[in-house]
Amino acid sequence: MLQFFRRLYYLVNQTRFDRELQGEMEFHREMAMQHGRSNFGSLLRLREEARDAWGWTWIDRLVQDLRFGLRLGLRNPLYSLFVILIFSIGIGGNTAMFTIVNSVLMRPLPYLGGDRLFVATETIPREQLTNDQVSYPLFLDWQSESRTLESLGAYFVTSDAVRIGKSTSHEQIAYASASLLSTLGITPIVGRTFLRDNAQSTDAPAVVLSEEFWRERFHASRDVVGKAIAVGADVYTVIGVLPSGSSYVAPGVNLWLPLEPMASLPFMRNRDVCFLTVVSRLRSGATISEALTELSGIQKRDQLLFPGVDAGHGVHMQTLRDFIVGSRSRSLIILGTAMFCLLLVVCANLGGLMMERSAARQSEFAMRQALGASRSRIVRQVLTESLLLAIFGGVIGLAASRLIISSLVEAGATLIPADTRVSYDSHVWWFSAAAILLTSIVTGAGPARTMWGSSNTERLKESAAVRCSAPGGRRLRRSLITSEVALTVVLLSAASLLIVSFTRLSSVKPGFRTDHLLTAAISLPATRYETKNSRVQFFDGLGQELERLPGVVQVSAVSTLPISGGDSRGFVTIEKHQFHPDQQPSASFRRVLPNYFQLMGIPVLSGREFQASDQGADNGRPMVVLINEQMAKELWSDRSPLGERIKIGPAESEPWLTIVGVVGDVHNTGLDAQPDFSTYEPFSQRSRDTMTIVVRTSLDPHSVENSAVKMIHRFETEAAIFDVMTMEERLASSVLDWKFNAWITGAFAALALSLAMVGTYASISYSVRQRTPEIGLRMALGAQPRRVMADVLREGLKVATTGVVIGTFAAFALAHAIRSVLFGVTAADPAIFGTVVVVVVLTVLLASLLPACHAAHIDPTRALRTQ
Amino acid sequence: MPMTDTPKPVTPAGALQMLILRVLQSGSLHGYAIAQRIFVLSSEVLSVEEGLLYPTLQKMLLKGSVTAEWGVSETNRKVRFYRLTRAGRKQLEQELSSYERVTEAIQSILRTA
Repeated sequence: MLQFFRRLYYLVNQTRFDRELQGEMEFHREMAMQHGRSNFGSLLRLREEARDAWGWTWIDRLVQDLRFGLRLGLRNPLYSLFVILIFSIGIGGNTAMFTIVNSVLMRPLPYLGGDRLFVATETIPREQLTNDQVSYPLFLDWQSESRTLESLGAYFVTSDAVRIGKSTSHEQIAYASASLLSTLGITPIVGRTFLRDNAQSTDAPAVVLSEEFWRERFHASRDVVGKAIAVGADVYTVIGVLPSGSSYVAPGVNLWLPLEPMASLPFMRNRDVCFLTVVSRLRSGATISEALTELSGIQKRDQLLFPGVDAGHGVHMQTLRDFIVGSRSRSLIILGTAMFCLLLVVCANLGGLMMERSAARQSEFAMRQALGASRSRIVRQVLTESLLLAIFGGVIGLAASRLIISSLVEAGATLIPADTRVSYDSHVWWFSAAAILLTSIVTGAGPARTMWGSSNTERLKESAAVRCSAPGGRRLRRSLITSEVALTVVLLSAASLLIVSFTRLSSVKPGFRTDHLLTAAISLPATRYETKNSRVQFFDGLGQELERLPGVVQVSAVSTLPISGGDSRGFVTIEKHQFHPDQQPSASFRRVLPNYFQLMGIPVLSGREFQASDQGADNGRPMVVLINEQMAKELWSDRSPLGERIKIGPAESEPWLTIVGVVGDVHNTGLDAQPDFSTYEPFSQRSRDTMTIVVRTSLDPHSVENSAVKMIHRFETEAAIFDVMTMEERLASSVLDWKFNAWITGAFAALALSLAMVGTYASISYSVRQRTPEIGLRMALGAQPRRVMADVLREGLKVATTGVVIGTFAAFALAHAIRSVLFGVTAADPAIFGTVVVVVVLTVLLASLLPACHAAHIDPTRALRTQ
Repeated sequence: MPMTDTPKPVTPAGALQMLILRVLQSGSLHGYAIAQRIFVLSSEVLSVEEGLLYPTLQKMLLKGSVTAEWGVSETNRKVRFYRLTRAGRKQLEQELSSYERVTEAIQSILRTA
């Protein structure tokens, strides 16, 4: 400790100490000379050695190196700016990507002990589903019998109209078991959460709010507890507020309602209705495979107890994070890898540039070494210079990464799960510091290595012009360019595959007309629209009002829009037909208003569309259904399905529906999924209080938007209107991730290609400069300029070929790894890989063309005179 | 840089601190006097290189075994005098005793082996 203070004292009074030391040593020398000695070493050097004892010389050297580096950088501002720019691209992009990866995949979950949380889902092997939800009875069995799990909670998310006082809004709502919030380890910031005991009580049902909702609607007032909120038809009492971040399991959810009061409803008791997400907390000491065995055992026993239920289903357990992040992790890893490749390209590129620069300074280094600088001292200086540039680049890059992240978040990238905050933390700082250090070392290593390799006297002897670069240096420079080219091939192939996938996906015909279509979801106040008739009347009346607006051609509505996620599905039962329990097919179901097929441009292939008289049991008519072409073909092959009767959903409770027509296939679940079985029922037969209206317009649908929304509000002031979008916007947002992956990797690839071009240019022109005397000599001896040019081009081509070969192999491997995110293109598409190879080779040739021309125009007399 | 000077008897580096502490025991001295004293007392066998002396003195300053103060030399020049501190005395005792132990051990090997 004392030593440290003495050291510090020395640092503060350094000049005085140095002066004293100097005086002392001069005195020593004088005395020694009086006594007849004269062979003193360099006083300066001796003094420096003495100063070393205090352990501060590194600061002096660092300051020297920094000052020298800065001066050098300022003398060549264009070069420095270029290097800093490249550094900032590499470091900024990587920091942005890492920040996102860190926020989504690495940061601890916003729950206490989040690493012990697992989600249990049912698997349906015959439909290749691993993430099917769980029925309430099965959840209860798991909850009461499991020993390996500390606790289990279940929830499902829906949305409903929420009224506070006079204002109505449409909110995401989660119905949660009383055990859910405690399983997640959430402590409320105000009030309490659901109690297990009063789960079955008859008190006014309770609601727990999210912090965001509480701040927005109750201005963070602490006496929110006890306030009343109407959700749909029911009134709830606020009992607590959850901290921000609690809705990680259910993104966007603002209100949490208890699940247990619904326990008596038929769907809650049905073992066939799977709608719950089950979160479990593993008991400490238990392993996940033990828990899995236990839950599967309970499920298997239930399947035997209740035959026909869940036949063939299994259990799958995954961490809560994996469940929420889902397939995003794959995209994130692809983009992260691409980003890292780009960083490597940046390093290779700058390494090449710096080597070229340092070659021009060989004689400077040799001179300094001759004057007594040690090798390590010079290497340190070279590294300090690259570190200086990397730090400047890194600071700019950090600023740029903020921009990149915010523009990504704004672009609505679903790559980042909702309710995951992307922010900087200490991990990010360490990462960018490491990136700066690593890039500066990697880029500085090239010049430093050449310094180490060649002997000093040799370098001093060589004049700048005659010198051929050390063979080690040339090999290193070559391999830098080779790896740069290889990485460019990898990035370019990946980007081409993703871009082609995106364009193929965009050109998929969705099965309906998407232009001039405005869509908006409407949720009716359940209390005032309890009967089917009132709902039918509402939509009939609204349709007539809307059709009167200028620019509106036709109006209809559907329960779930195509390509908007959230298809409702049920198992198909066919009258007088027995499916093998493992092979019962499922189909999506929709309820539609009249004119839906005409308005959407979905062709009716056989049979008829719905009529006003299709009101089911109300007017004693049979209940009707339309099926799509694929379902008709696969289930009835060449027979006509018209007149056949089917059930969708639980066979014991659902009515028989008569098939009256077949309509065209629609990509209901998304453009990337093949159309599968879908069915449609008329709204007049079975209704619901939330529908999405579709408005066919003659003008730009946006121009109708305001007047349409106003009209709906006037028509029913208590209706909640949400998700107002044109169909084209919905379509675009459904392929946003694809577009995103394609353009980001595309941008990386473009950057890599231009860096490879610059790098090759620098390297080839460097080698031409080195070989100027040799080329001059050859030309003096009669070599044709054309031959010289071809020689230089061949050198470029040689570098390119190795790089392209290595890169193509790596790209094949990468393409194979990302084949699941490709669409309409195979991982080894020869046309794409061929094009990439041609583009890269041409780029390299183009980059070597200029130096080749230089070489061809070398004036032999002048080249030889410099020798 | 290659060293071309012919080697001459130099104080073993490890012992130098002990020798400096020992010659300072009888009073403060300046750098040259320390070197001189060691040279004379060793009957002109041990010559202390200034390239070694001053770094060693700096290390000892840092360790706190000596302090420096201004004084006037016999030739009337202002120069730094080094003086033993209490920590320095203790260090000297320790080094002397361990040195004696080691030399005894070496001696006994040389005698008996």
